[in-house]
Amino acid sequence: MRTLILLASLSLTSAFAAPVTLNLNIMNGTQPFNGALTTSAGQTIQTTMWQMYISNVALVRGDGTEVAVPGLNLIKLDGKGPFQNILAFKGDAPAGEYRGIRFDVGVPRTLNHVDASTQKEPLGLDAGMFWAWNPGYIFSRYEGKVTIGNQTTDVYLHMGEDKRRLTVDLADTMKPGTAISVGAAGKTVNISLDASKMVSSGVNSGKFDLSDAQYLQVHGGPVADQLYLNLSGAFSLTGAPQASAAPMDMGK
Amino acid sequence: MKRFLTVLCSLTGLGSAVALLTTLPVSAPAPPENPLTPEKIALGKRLFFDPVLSRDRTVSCSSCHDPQHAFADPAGQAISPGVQGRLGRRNAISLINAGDRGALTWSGASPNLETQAVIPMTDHAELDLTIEEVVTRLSADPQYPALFQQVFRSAPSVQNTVRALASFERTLESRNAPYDRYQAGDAAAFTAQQARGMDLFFGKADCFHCHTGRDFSDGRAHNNAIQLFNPDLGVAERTELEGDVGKFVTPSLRNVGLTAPYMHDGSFKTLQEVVRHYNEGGEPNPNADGLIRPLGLSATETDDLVAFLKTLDDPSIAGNPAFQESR
Repeated sequence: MRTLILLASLSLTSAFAAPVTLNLNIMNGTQPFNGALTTSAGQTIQTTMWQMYISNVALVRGDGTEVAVPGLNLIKLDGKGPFQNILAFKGDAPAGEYRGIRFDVGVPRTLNHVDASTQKEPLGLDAGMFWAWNPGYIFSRYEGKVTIGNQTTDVYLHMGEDKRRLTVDLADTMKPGTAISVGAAGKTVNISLDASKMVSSGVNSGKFDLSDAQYLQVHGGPVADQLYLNLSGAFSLTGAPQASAAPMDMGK
Repeated sequence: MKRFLTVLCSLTGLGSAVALLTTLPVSAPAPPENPLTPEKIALGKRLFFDPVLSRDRTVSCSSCHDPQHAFADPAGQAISPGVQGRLGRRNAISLINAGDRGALTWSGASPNLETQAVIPMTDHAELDLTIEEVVTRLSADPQYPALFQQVFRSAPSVQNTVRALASFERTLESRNAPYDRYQAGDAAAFTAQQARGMDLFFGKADCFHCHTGRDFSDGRAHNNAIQLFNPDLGVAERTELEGDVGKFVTPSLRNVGLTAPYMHDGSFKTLQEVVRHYNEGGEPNPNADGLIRPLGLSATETDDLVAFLKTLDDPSIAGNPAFQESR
């Protein structure tokens, strides 16, 4: 009987949760991001804030099945940084061998339409991520200042709504190079976000030109759609091939 | 449902002193996350009238929601100016009985008073603060940190600011108009003309289809064909659906005689103008509600209808001390 109990406890040990951490490094192309963001039109935004929700994290097995890592986190950065080694997310998952990781930039649909005035942080009103005049949360809230000529203007690049929930897939079951081995002590997964991609393309293959007013205060519409497209190629596992994101579901 | 509660309260030092034994005012029901207390209401009232919540400290909630005009725009103003005189796009909706309504703002953007309060606080053309600046501003105030501690046992936050404001707004209840007294059995509350107008409202003029219920609003969005093209998208700003362009939530008709001008943009100056618009069938807007059509009202019937609408006014609101800024 004692042997059976020991065997049972040993088998359960492998199922115990291990801490999984997403460590985010924000880049500017190949260089570490320092708060200055240059658009494809050559204008430089001085970042004053960047906040984004990370949720719906899952570790992906080699057979394509997933293990959910419960939790939701709000990354909060001001203009001063640091922009490297940011704790993007922390949760628990069973130890084991995985082929990669997948997560959403945004708030799950089941939470995206709750009454924010009743929620605890980071979903409460004080997080500054709730659109009072639109249904749901801001998934990525980037703000800064740009000087064009002798005029300095605020820039608000806010992306949200269910159809712009960005799924970042950093798991390629065909490529062992993306393997993530989660031991009993847990695993820190390093991911990169190339900030320059966010402002790399404008609407209809144009430039992301801040002299055009539509790019200055973005809360929805075609430019928010473009932000979604731009960000969908911006994440990667550090040292691994670029991420792919699920196509935008206009019917969501 | 109205509730009367009697609670024991200590003196709070909140400007308007709360008696040892006090009664909560008549109010709209409060959500469980934000129960009403006299202290919270008093704090909310103070915030409502305080321009501290605006960027240039010149504008408060009461600047657009004037107690003298049923907490709608001050007399004659289509759109009240915000900080630095900036003008927004829409006429301020009356806050009377707003606590009983679900879809708040002209586009129905907010399900409750708490989330609605964030809109004007952060709107560039209204109070123009960021969420972070609201907290910084209140935390730096010589009195608010202590007041928030008394009420919420915590430092100022946006969450608790809107809870306090909503609590005060839930007390802005009024259903003591001539219409209410007439419905309660006081036949002398109406003139014959007003009674004829009421019959038209619930009959030939078809107003009741949208202006229904005890506050004369169905809480739904309609395009009432006031314009051929809609520069203000209304509900479509949120839904991005073409069929929602130009739809706005039906406003309450309570105190309508006190809250001129009318429509989401304040473009109709008088009630006669409003009735004439509906009588003529509106503009041929592609999203116009199917009920908008010529009504065939005579000039006399128009006057009768306007006379009835004015029975929904409660002039006591302007003089109610509970609704005025505490000195």
